[in-house]
Amino acid sequence: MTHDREWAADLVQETFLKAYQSTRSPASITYPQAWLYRIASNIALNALQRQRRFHWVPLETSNESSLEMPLSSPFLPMEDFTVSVAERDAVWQVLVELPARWRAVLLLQTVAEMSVHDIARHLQLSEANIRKILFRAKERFRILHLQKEGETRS
Amino acid sequence: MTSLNHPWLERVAAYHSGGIDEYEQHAVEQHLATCAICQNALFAYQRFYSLAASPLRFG
Repeated sequence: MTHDREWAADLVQETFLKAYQSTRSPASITYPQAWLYRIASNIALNALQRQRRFHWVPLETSNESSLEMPLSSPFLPMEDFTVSVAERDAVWQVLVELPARWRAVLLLQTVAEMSVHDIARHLQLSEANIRKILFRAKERFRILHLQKEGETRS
Repeated sequence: MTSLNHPWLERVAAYHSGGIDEYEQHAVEQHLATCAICQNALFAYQRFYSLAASPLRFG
């Protein structure tokens, strides 16, 4: 559907995360493959639709420090109507650069809102390891954000 | 000491991730009350989580 191996891998990851977050009990799912396929298709279709609807604004063509998003946008929660170019670029860069397992750790905490303890148990890693991974991801974002803010100002 | 090598950042990040004991939580909160570098870092971590939770929403 995506014609992009890496993007497809990300969407598969999102699919399993969504399935994991589902409130449905495994016993109530008669055809698990069909259920997973439906989730994956919806996620891929939504991603393709979003890609058509939004486009990147390169830093060099924008002098504004923030992007005003339309109030009707269905994809942004209220608190995120204004997202700076620096922030958006930094988040994407961190997510793209992270090794897949680290990205999974980050998404399990940010999207699935799992505790450090639960992530450690789920991935069979120590809590100290999970904290280290999260610290590195957060610091990568903070430093990139500082750098990009500096570039935007200069 | 700069905001890049501040020794409390790892503890602030752990505080932000949750699951630390009460003693450590109290120590970090006391430090946060007086350290602008860590206050800014905590704000950045919170912002990062808020945006990373829905990366495709603004891409």
